[in-house]
Amino acid sequence: MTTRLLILQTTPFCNIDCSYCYLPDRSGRRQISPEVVASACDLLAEAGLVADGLSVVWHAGEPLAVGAPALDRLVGSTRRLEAAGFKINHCVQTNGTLISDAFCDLFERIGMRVGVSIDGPQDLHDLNRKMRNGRGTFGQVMRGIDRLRARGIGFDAICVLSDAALDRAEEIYDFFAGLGARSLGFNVPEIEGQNRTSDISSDAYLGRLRQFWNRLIGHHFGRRALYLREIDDLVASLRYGEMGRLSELVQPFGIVTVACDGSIYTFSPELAGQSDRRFDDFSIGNVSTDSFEHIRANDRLLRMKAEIDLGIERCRNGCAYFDVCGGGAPSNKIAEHGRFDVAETRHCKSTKQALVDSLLSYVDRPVAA
Amino acid sequence: MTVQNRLKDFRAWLVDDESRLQNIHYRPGRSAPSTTSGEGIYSFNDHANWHNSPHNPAVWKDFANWANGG
Repeated sequence: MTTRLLILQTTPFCNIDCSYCYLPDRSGRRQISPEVVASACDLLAEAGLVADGLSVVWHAGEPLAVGAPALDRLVGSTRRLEAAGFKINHCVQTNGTLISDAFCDLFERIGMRVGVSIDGPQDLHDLNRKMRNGRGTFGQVMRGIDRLRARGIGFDAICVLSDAALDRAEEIYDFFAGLGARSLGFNVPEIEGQNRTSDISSDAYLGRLRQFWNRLIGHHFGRRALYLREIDDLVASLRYGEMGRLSELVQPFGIVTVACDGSIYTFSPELAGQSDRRFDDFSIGNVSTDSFEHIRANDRLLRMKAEIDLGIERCRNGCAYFDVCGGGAPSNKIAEHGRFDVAETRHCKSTKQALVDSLLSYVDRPVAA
Repeated sequence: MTVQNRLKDFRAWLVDDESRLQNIHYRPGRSAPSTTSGEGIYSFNDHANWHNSPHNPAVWKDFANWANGG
């Protein structure tokens, strides 16, 4: 196992206050230090975990809130990986409201991939993505995107599907195509962290979501205006991927998240910052003080892995979608069921299962001669 | 037919002729994305130039005919 995704929490702070956000401590002003970043990189390199093409993603809070000079210094601390010969993809996931020319300079200089979180047309976006004073952020996000476009900096988009969006598949797709996004990914509101319920708690939402995927797939294959993460990755993985391969979400160190205080997490990134009666804060050590040998033997890691493995077996033995899922998402399992050793979640139903069903319905559909 | 078998059939159809994938805009030879990849949490996969391929709905028509026994 190697690490293909390293998520670094620049700061827990976020300058906006989305209604569905599950992250705690969004007012916390702490920042990760260049030393913690360097320790995280050294730890992975010394453990032999760095995959070629490792994606280093700045996220988990609003990463641009620290300012361009600080982010530049932090990115500089990851250069030790490239100096050691590893190919690194630098990425940032932002709410888009703070994109400035100074950030555009940085993105251009280091070839950073920019992901913008935006929920579609203004009325849908402003329903949930608000400033702390309750005003919608659409105008500010669009100004940020305009800056990217003016500089010729490509961007990827992630859109959260609120219930209100589900009747507007084609309109949303066309909105992002018109925006010039290279790719589009859809997230569903999750039952996670401080969110004990979400839209996916409702059977009506799940039914409407299936209709959304059905319409979106038909529209996408008809227009082909952008890369649609859920569908294009699914089809390409069916062609080139390995059926039944375990998800990186369920394998230790496949994904590594480092919080701004150096706490290290693995499995689902969403575990960072959450808490549980049996697994406390889910951290498995600290990159500043612990060796990899120590982290690998961490009791909490071993207990989580044992329970996650039982959950994988339940998925493997009982889920028709295992071949294209590989064990589900531990963070959703524990958030929805309080345990890792379970199989199906509402998140499974609303994402992988509904997507596969919609894709198969599309390819099986009768076509006029 | 079960979901597993439908997926296997679809995969076999895609594998059977590389041009089918090419025609539906997947660039053969690029690194294989995975539905189980952590990178899928974001949208940063390398899919440059995919949109320059021609769209060919006939591929889907072929598959539908084949899946329906035609």
